Amino acid sequence: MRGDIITIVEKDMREFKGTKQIWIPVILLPLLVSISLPVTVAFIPSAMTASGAIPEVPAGLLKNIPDEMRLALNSLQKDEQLAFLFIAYYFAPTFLVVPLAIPAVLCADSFAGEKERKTIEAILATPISDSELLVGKMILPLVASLSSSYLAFTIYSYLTNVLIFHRFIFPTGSWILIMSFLVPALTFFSVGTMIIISARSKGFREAQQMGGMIVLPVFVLLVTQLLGIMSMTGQGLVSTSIVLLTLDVLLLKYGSRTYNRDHLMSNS
Amino acid sequence: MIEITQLTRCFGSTVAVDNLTLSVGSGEILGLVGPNGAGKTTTLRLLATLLRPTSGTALVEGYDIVREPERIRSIVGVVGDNQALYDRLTIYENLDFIGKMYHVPDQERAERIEELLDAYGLWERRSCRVGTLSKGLKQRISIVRALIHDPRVLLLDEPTANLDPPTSLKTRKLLAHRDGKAIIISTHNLREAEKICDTIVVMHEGRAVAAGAASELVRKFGSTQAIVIRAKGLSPDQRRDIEKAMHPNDVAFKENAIVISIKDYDANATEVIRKMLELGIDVLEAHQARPELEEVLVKIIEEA
Repeated sequence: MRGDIITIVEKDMREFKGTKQIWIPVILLPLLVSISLPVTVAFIPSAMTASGAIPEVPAGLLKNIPDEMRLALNSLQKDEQLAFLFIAYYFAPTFLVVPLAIPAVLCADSFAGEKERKTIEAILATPISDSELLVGKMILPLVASLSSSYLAFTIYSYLTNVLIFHRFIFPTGSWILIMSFLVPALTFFSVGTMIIISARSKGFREAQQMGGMIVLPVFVLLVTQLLGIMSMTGQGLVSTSIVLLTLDVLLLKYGSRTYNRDHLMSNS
Repeated sequence: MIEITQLTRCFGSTVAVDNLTLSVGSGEILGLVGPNGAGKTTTLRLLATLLRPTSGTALVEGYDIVREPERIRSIVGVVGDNQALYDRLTIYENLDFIGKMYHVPDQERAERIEELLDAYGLWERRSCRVGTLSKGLKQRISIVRALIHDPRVLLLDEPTANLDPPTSLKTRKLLAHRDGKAIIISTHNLREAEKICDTIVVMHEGRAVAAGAASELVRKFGSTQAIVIRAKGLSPDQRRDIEKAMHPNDVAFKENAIVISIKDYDANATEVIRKMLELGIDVLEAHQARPELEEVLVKIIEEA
């Protein structure tokens, strides 16, 4: 029943509100990423040169970038190119830590934490079905993660336009694709993975430690992007998102099978 | 009403509940007793549909634990072996949350929470965070939580553990009302089981090894029974006469009382009293001294 799902979400929100170690990272991480990256780009490059002039883009950085990005750079002034390259291209994988890491923290507490504190038994004794319980437990991590990501994106865009370029230049088409497809796909990936991890781990810490590995795809993206194997633009983004969404469906299907009363009680 | 038929639950190669068959009628209280690991908690979890059986069936108010678990959960109140309360929420928030999950209407839920918290002396502390409370107070809340939706069936795992004597008494009185509920209690407190349970089932290694009313179990499994005769002043000669008349190993003296072990109390008690009167003993009072249920339980388990 929908009411039960809402009741679980409300309860989880009350619990999170009272737990600093949960909500502080949820607020700090997006702020850190969305503020520190544009601020760094706005001030560091000019400070690196003796004259205070913004350096040109090193040739090495341009070697593996896709044509779409090369065209965009060419349309900009020389002193804007380095900042644009980082803001619009190289920082994209770092930004994706937000939709991956926030669900990992929230899910570890919500799923494995309840198991560890044995409070899950009280919910399992009520008439709610296994699937409703799973949906109820997923909503808060999903909503919190997506909200944080979009809030961070708004701040990132605002600071980029105001602080660096002094005009409306960001988001680019690729970033709109990232926010529309890749971020939701990664959020679901994180939640799905954490459900499986939590169902198998005994407690919050164990789940969180194992969940730490969830940011690995970000490093994969970062490295493949640097090597020019995969680009975070157009077609590459859409195909990555499709692969991830397929993986999400499989993860959630498998997760819902492991997240049932008998499994939770037998392993608690 | 609860009907359990050949219920079995295995965890890997461990058989936690082994071919268990028993029934509990409406308004009846059944006590599950036995050592740790006997299968009591698993039995309660199976009935609460928190676990699925490996084989066998159980019906709770006519609903099958495998096919209709949600219906069962809506009519069952559970006190688990841990309190399962949210430390970060207040007492009221904990109860309100569970009341909502059982679909108790708003007005009724508020009234019921107030009534139950008041009965357990917790109403004034309703805004306290559960994490700040003692184990005993938490146990009270978990009992209140099990009653919030006025369930037709109660499954209680050590409900009075950690409770102070007045609250234990209050809980026992509350359970004694029954109100047509079928109740199963798992307990290590045999005195409590003896006081409130209509039937006691002794479990050992997942099996029910004995069942019956406490008095039946004592009669059936108690190896020795005794008669305690209080007499008016016992002289050394009288003591010697008693020992001569009875088997000396069967007689013990405690101040002005004579404790005589007898095999079949109902058949032999009158004869013993007659003998005392013949020996000139001024008998003031005579009563049966039954073996403790604890002693009987140990014997049942040893023989199982």
